[in-house]
Amino acid sequence: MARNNNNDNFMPPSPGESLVAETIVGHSVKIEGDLVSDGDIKVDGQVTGKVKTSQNLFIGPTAKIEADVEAGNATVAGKISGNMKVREVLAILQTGNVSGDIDCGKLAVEEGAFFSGKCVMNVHNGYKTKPVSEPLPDEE
Amino acid sequence: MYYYLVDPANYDGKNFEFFQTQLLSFLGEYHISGEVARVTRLRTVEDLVATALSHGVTTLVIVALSHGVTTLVIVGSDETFHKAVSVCHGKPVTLGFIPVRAQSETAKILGIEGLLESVITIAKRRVESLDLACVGQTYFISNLFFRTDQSPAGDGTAAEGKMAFQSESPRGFFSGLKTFFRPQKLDAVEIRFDRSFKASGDLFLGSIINASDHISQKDGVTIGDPKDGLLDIVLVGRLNRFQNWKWRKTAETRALETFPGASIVHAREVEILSPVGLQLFAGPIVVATAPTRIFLAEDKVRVIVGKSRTF
Repeated sequence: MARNNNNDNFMPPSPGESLVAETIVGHSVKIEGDLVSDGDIKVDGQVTGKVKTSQNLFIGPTAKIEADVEAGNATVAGKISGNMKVREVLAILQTGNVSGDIDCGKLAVEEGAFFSGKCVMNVHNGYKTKPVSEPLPDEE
Repeated sequence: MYYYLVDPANYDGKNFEFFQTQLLSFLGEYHISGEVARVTRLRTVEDLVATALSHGVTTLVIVALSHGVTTLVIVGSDETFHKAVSVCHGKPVTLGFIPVRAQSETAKILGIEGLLESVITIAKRRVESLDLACVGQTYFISNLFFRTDQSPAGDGTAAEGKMAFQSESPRGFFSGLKTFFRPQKLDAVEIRFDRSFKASGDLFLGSIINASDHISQKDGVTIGDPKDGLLDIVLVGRLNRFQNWKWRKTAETRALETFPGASIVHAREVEILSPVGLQLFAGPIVVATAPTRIFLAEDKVRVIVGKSRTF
């Protein structure tokens, strides 16, 4: 449902910063059903059902989501009730409110954010930490 | 072989005969002359296009000899072009367009300006395959528009096909004040996308865009690309009084993506479920009323485009 979009070097945007989003759910719109996209999604309204994208997801401060969420990267400044599965970086900003289990590669939680649920850091599908130093080769 | 379908219906100049003479002169000059058929009360656009494309017996004398048309050039208004596209879809023909009005949305989309430039564009023959959207029996390459504050409630099917668009905001200072103080009465709109999810809300304006007459970038995403295989749907919710007054002129230009809090969704199929009777406009013409389904056709349409096209 979307054009190509490169999500390399993802940096979570701050609430005031605009995100290059292909699908935008404005604050006056309520979505029911499976909101599935191959491109970036920005939600400022209400979503009930499911949100899925392989790219970036931005949940604005006015957003209310009662849905399971799957995304490549996600930034949460609004309210989510549901489980989140994020392949790479999940950032919960100061105004963010997440009630549900999260499964992500890398997690950033700002001071003041609300999170209630279990958290699993998935190293297989997502972000892999590099070892601090290379192991020395065995000396024969 | 070039076939020119001339429809003087919405010509905005003084002397159409002079316009047509000039046109024929330019066509000869650029070596793209062909058969010319003119729309009259007895010969409609649909009849002329259908007979021009047929290789068998024709019903009209003027197009009786028109066999093997490969390029059909519509000399007329946006309405004429829409009618021709509806008949031509799925047929192996390339469409061209020469506008007879100074303000033509289709001409802007295709990058055509003025008579001479149009003829030069036809002669250069840069052909693009564009997505073709369909609502009811009407096929279009441009966009549809609705606004809930001025559509009649109830069954509005009788208004289909009529010049019923009355949405121009009042001009002048006092009229602007009227807009400011007028309460916004909006209907709850329900739209289903790709049979997958449903959007609802008190919406003020909406646009279903295949191609747009203005190049628009919302947060870096181009809206209205008729080659991307998707319809772009832009929805604007309730505005406060100040916003309603401030953005009244933008509503006329239909650049809805610039409105604050606009929603943008991409889909191949859109169903407008409610309110019943909500009118959908293509230009000033009502082409459908809700509930209705708008979708991208399987076929694409081959159109001659100019350098300054919007996609």
